Amino acid sequence: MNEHDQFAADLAALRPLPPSRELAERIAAELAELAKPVDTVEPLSLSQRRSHDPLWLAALCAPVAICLIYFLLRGVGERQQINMPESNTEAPIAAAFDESLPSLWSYRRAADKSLDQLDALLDKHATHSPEPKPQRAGAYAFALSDSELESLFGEL
Amino acid sequence: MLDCTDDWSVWLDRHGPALVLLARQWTTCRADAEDIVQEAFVRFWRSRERVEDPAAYLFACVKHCALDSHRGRARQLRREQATARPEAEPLFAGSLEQDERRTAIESALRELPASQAEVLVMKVWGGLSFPQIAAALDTSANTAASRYRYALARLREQLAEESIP
Repeated sequence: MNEHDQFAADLAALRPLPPSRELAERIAAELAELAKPVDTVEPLSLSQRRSHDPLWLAALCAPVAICLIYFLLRGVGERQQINMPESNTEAPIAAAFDESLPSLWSYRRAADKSLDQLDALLDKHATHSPEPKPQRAGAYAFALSDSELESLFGEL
Repeated sequence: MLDCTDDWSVWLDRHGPALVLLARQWTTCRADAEDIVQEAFVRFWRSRERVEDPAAYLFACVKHCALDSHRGRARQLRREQATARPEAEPLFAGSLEQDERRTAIESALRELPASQAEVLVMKVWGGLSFPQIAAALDTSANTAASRYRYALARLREQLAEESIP
């Protein structure tokens, strides 16, 4: 046994102070507290486990959500169809062949028959068409009204 | 084998004194050291089945908890140490005849660097082997052995200086 070993044996002869009784009691209480939830919690039933399991929740909610979205989109589509204005394709076609109205069809048909008929048709449509109402477009070089200009020229 | 028992009180009886002594290296009073041992022991007990060497893990838990506590209380301790005297609570039990030598060893132990003191406590009073100490401190067995030898040599020197009139 060398010097170090002898000295270590001398040191080992000293006994460290043991932990207090309170420390053992506190550890016992804490370990009991940690063990309590495991012992006291009742096992979950299958339905409870299902309700707590996110996969179960997702599996249950997904079809419901899909159906809901489907019916919502379907309802919106129907409403859009209802609200959509009816496409009136009959009126323009009928109007195109109405000889009382000016149209390319009526002019061509009249021209095919004779020039007199075309003239007659043009005269007919001319009487029905409203008179043009030309509007005078004003162009002003000055920002003064006519009365103001007259008074101004009068002064000159 | 003792280390295989499932009775926590056996573990505490076996290692408790060395654990408190180890925690005292980072605390100024015994109550703080016992708080650290309590926290470390509960942590150890919950995870003991997942570790390779439970005894080494128990001492490692005490060191980690002590360091955590030491960091949190560093400022407070500096203020306290500036105003208060060092605590006179003994580290070891002993008779009155041994009182002088015990006091000298305690004083010399407090003067040791922490890295050497912890190895000394684990080896001499904790009964751990060098591989176990190495596992607890996350170092090599050779390093643990070297620190142990340095600690013994330094302790002897200090005791020899104190014994010279």
